[in-house]
Amino acid sequence: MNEYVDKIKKIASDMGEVRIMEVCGGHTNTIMQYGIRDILPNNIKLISGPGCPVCVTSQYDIDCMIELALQGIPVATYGDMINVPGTKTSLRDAQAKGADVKMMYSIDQMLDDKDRVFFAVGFETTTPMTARAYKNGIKVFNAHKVIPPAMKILTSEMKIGGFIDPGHVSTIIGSEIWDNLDIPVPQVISGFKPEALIRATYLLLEMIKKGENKVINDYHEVVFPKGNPIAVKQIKETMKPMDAEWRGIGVIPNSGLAARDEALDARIVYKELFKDIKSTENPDCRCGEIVRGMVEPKECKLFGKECNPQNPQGACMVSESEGACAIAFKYGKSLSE
Amino acid sequence: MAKKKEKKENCLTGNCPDLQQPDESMVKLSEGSGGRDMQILIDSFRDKLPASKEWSNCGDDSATIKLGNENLVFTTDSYVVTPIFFKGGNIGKLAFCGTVNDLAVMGAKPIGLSLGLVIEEGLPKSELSQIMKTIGELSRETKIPVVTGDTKVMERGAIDKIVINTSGVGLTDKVLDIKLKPGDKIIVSGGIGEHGTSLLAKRFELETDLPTDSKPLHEEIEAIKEKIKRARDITRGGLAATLNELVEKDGVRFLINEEDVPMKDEVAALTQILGVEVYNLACEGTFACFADKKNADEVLKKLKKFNKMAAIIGEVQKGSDVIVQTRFGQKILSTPLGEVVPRIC
Amino acid sequence: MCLAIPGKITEIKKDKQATVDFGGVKRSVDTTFIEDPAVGEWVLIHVGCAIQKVEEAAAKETYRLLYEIRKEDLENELKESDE
Repeated sequence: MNEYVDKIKKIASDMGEVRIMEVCGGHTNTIMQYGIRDILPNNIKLISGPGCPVCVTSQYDIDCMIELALQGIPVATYGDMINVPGTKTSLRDAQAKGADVKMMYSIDQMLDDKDRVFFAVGFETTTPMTARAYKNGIKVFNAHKVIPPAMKILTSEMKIGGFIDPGHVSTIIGSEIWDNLDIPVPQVISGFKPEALIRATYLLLEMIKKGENKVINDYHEVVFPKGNPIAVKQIKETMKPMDAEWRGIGVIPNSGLAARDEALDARIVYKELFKDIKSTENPDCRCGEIVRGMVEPKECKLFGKECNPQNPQGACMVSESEGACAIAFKYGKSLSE
Repeated sequence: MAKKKEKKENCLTGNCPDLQQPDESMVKLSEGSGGRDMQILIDSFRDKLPASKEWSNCGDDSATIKLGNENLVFTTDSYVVTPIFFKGGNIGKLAFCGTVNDLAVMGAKPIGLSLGLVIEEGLPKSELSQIMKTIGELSRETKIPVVTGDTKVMERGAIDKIVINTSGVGLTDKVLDIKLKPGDKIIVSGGIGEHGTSLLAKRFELETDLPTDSKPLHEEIEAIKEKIKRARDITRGGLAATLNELVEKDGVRFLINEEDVPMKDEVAALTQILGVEVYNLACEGTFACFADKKNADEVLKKLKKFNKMAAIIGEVQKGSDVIVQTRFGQKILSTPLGEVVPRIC
Repeated sequence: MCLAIPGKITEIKKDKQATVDFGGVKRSVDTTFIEDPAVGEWVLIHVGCAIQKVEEAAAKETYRLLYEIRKEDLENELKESDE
């Protein structure tokens, strides 16, 4: 097979359990799409962290957007968000009842639609596009998350031995940020092909064995030390940090973004409509623990039964391409048994 | 399910909602997409229809009934695709070929089609004329006549431009419904996912020169009919839906070798750009067939004369599910659920 | 987190737009975040926006299957069966 798979088998042979976390839905997807967990030795655990922006969007934010839609305000969002269940319903069901909900692939599909409110979800890779929306005078309900603050919490809580850093987030923010993250474990910035993830795993194991806490940039074809300065500048011009609630984790300081221009901040513009929203989550839903990598999807008693892709109880089951549960359901629910 | 009203740790307000149930009182768009949602919908009303002892294969692409030495094969399909004109064809082409192919995959020689039109008031007559012209040309080329039909017009807004239903009958001495067994080979007649790519591209404003792959398949199947056990038109729901339907029907496992699955560059590009799996993309003029391993190479050789991308993609094994061997580990391919939604991030 | 793939700029349009070709599929993309984009250059695209320039060799290597192997295989196959 791949030379790095052999190298991993060799180096892991005298190591105890090693927990490596990736925090990128794209990485989770590649791992499942190529059955990578199958071919790693049993003591090397690849854990999926909160890399799915859909999955970590708070119930409250989803309920607010659904409320806007049900109140007749046209809204737009990217693919998966449409199906995420809020406390009572989803954007998809609101659409079925007649609400104007537009699913788009790219922000340029709504730049002229100035009355439409954009539900901005995603990590740093997607934030530049929201900056464009602000510059075009579009009101945004900003639910973006910034990944580095979350990683610090996860390191200690989850006993993580090493991180695979998100490749395209890094394209925007640059590799230097990871150097300055101040966490006591090694990191590898990785691309998205299965070969890249396997190599990243090996590089982490090497560093872990040597007790090194460096950051290796293994995606240097697009990740530069300062990232994309134009994008970073526009983000800073249009947005400021805000404390944000991550579903399943809680509020992480400075891990979200808000509009600098309050006239474009949908949270402020429409706050009257949101004041009666009471968001609750299903008590048996373990999405919170799943996004932190604390449990596997199959450990949730709802998995595959009451909670399945047709009838998701929590966000992890909705995002067919990044939600840990939806991916597990799609690719391997019985392979792991 | 018991209502959970007692306060729990995770419940902030003491008012935890019941488990969310989908709104089952209304039919959803995803239930027409050819995936699992649709199957569940169909199963829910199938038991209201009395079963027939004389007819066979009633859940398949076509139903069959023995008439003397021959078998009559009967099928129907409705076409609601939007847009109605697309690169390489129009809804008329899909309607004609789709029904011809449902007969062909059962091994039948199509002998006649019906054509039912439900037209929205205001549809330009030039568009209707073009659609009928396309159907006429195909009928002439294939020598399969349209022998009966019906036409209705509904008020503006009641339907979206046009809905076409085609039913078809065919005859065959041998119905292709031989149960698959371990060792049999799985073959596809050409690259997969082209129709789905063409439609998704248009929806997400991606330009591609890829035309739809819709075409009549009865000649191809005729050429290999004696050497195969089953054939299936791969339509909505893509290869994943087709393969899953059969593993359930015959109680076997399919092992697919991902590197052998053929697809055009544009299809590969689109799956990567939008983050969708090629196995979930619709095809229109591509079929899967299953042959005993001693016949597989010969079947492939004959199919390659029609389409150079035809390939043997896997084999039948004991067990269940559709397993795909990637160039690394394995994964299970499940039936797509509803609409194909691109990844965001 | 993000689904981004490299494509080649085939046309520069006004208002910071460009046409990008991804192995046969084309799309109009926004080039706001790219300094001096030019025809023939490769860029990484995420939800319709170019987010970084990429060296051609690196882009093709990352997406080898997409850009080279299939084309070669198919061309070879076509040659063989034409003989």
